Amino acid sequence: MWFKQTETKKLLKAKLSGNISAEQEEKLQKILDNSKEEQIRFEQMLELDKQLKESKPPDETINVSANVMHKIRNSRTIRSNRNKLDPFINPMILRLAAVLVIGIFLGAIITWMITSEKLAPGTETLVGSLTAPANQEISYLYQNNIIKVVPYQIENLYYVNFILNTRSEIQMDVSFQENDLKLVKANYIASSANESINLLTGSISFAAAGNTSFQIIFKKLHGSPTGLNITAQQANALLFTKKIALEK
Amino acid sequence: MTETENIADEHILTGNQEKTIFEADHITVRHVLNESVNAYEILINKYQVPIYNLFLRMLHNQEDAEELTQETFVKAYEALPDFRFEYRFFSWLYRIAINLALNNLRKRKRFVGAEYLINIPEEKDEKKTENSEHLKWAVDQLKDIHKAVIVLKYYQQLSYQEMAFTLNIPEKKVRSRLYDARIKLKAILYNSNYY
Repeated sequence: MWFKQTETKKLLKAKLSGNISAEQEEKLQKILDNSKEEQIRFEQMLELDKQLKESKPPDETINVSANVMHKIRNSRTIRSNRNKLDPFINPMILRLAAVLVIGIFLGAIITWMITSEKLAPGTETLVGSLTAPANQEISYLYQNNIIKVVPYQIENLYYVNFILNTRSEIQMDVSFQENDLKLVKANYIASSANESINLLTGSISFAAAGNTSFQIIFKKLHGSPTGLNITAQQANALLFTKKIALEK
Repeated sequence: MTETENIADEHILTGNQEKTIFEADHITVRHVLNESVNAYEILINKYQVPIYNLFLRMLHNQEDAEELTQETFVKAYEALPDFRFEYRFFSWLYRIAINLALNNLRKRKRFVGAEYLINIPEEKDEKKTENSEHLKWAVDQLKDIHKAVIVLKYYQQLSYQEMAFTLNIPEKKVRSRLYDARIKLKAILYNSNYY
């Protein structure tokens, strides 16, 4: 029943739009011949179509050309005045400019936030602790100097590895409380320049030039908090002084 | 032969004649775009009557129809730099006009109870005295989208292809919408003792 209705609708639609094939016409005729109801419906639709065609209201005339041309000429005057300022008042261009300015501003802030800690000598804060997991590094980057401090802990031993890359020599000093920490080892792992270590009470100094890896191992003597002071100098100028806390 | 009849005739022209009319509008459009603003008057004079009558048939209000006819031409002029020459100018104009008409009908519905409702129902009994008036009244009872296809097809005598472009829908959908519109119209007529 539903299929038949859809089919009839399709055929009627085709008939009314004048887009019916001979085959469809034949099918439609069969449906109409077999159903008085469909035939009445179809005739009413044809009649409606005919009446609609005949009921076209007569055209009314109008002349708006003078008014429209007046409006257009006015808008042209406005437009031609605007043309000079268009690049500045075009909302799209304004929006793009605003986005650009905001982007530059945000970019500058983000760049400053990322680099300020690493670039300003003597004022930056290194983040981390000796309890940091292995390979978690603290980096210092300034001009041609790269200093990475990689602290980690294995059982009761606290490792502090230094990886440096510098053109001119850097003097590194690490000081600690002997009551808190016992020095187990302090030595170069690799160095591309002269090696120089100075071990004093509660202090380790070493020099680094080119690519250098240096390792210090401490044993903590108690469970109270303590820390290390790390100082970097280059040509008698202070690069930074940092304190690394031992959390356990 | 009136100007409107001329325009209507253009729809059924084929081959070179149709192409010539089609191209003539494009030449005028190019003139307008080349700073010959006065050339636009040719297009206004050519199409203002069918556009005005489209609004009259959709809105039944002369003031609105006149105002919107002007607005159609002003909008078309402003959008002329974006006109694509693969389209017919008058079809493009119709598209602007029908959108304005449908927007106007939508606005009216938001202000139901105001002046506009007076036009349709109060005239119903009077108009039912004649079949064609009854039919016009019934067309006004249709949903806007159905009314638009009836007006464009029967009163503005657009082809299916032109209707598809004007309404920005596929031709198949035009046929379907027109069929639905006829069914709804038949139901309205049936319920108002037309048959």
